[in-house]
Amino acid sequence: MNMDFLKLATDLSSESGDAESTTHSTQFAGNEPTDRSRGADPISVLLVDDDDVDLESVRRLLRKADDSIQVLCAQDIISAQQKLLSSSIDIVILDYLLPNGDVGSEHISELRELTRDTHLPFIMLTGFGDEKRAAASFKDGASDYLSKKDLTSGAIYRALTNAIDKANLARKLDNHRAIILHTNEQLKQSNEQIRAFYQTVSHELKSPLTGAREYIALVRDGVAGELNSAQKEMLNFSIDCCDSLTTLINDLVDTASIENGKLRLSIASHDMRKIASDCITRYRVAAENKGVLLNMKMVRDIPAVDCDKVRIDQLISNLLSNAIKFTEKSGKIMLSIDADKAMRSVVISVKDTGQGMETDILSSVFDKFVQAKDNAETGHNGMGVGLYLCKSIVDLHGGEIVVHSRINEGSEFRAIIPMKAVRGKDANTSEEETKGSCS
Amino acid sequence: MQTLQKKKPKVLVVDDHNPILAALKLRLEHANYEVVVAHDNLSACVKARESNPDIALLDIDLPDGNGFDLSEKLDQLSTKTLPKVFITASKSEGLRKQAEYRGAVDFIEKPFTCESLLAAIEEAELRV
Repeated sequence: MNMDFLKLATDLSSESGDAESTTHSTQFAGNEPTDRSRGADPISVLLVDDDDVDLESVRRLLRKADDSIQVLCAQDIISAQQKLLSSSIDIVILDYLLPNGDVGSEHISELRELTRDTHLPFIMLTGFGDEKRAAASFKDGASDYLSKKDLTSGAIYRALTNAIDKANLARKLDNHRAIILHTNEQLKQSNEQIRAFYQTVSHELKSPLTGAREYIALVRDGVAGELNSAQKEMLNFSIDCCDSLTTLINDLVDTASIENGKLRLSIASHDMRKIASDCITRYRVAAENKGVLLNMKMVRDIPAVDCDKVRIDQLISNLLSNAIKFTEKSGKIMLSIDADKAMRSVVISVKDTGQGMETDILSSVFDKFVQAKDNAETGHNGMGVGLYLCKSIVDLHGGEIVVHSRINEGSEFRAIIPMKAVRGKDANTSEEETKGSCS
Repeated sequence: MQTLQKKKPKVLVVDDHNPILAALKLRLEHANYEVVVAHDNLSACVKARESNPDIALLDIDLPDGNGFDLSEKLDQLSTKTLPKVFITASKSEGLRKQAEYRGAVDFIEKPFTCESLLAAIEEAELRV
């Protein structure tokens, strides 16, 4: 080592000391991304090279490009670690080949870990510009790769600022990602709270409703003394009102469960004829009260179907309830149960001769809170979740629901359910996925 | 000539909501069942020991434990396995499955229809 080198080393040491004392402070708060935008503070560079001459020439090139750049120097990894811990560094320029055959880029991960900044940019320097080394450097996480041979202040400054900008962008992205994840988690919690609230409200509403409905039914059934037919009819209307309220409460809770992906099926083998005829029995009185003819047909013999009996009952009930609601006196409703030609799916159809729907509403009829007609116009109440629930139930069974309708001629809803259980789609699907295939 | 009518079974009805408990009692008595009522776990166990019921109609949400726990206690108290029907106003997931798992004859959601209630009790009667 000659005197020139000694002098150079002393100069470098004193300069790096100055730099350390003036370097701005940057916080590394855990993994929280830190945006160190250029322009606000001078750029702070840690230059790691075992060759004194190379160190000085790169340092000069940097200062030539921008004399506000703070340059700290280290001649080995240990010293680089100390500098990274004691100073705030925006970027590291690291020699590819360090003493004793040590490869600089192999230290990138550990140095980033040390600073707890996963985006700290590294630019690799080498005396031999070859593609293999460049590729190895990028694989190790380097932001850029420069050859010492034809290094200019412009080239090094461009690489430096690009790498810092890229790192800042990555930190911002991390920050936004963290915000999105956090918001998503908060929304999930809110949804869960809403669902729990609905369940509590449902329980609290249904207890008195149960009492009200059953006492009305007891009086109607003559338990408290004989009634005439007009009195019985009035009490039947009261019971219908209680049942409508029950359906609304249940639909509300089920909708909240679907939103949270908490609506789960309990699949077992069931006789579709039995489920359908139970529904018909339940809705026959309501249809008769309105003067609507309600019938059912089994088009062909169908084997037992893998399904959730309660949910299929809910599906058919919702379709029948809608059909009765929108079919005028003397109209007809037909519930038919059929299978596709290959006997792979059961086809549940509810066809009415009711008001029908405008073409423009058909594409959104399975969306939440959509009513085919305005409540005030039709006098029919509802939250507009019945068909949304039907669609979700069919989706969970891995099936499909379609609607055909003509204004003033009637509507037909067809739910196609696989006979053998398939892995159903999660109820909490995107808006697009929950739209029915309408024609 | 007199015909011997089979005596209707005795039903233990447990519900913490008194108006509903009274309505259930009225409904079942009107259908000629003998009815014993209780409003919580503890009183249900006492009544079960005293009256030796044939069928249990159990609300799931009770103030001192749930209907499933009560179901197990009743089995421990009795020399026979009681056919059980569970009833609830809750929409919590998995209740129906839990009821099935515990061998329930039926699971009824509140508000219930008299048809569904009597059909469940009649089904339980077949297992007495």
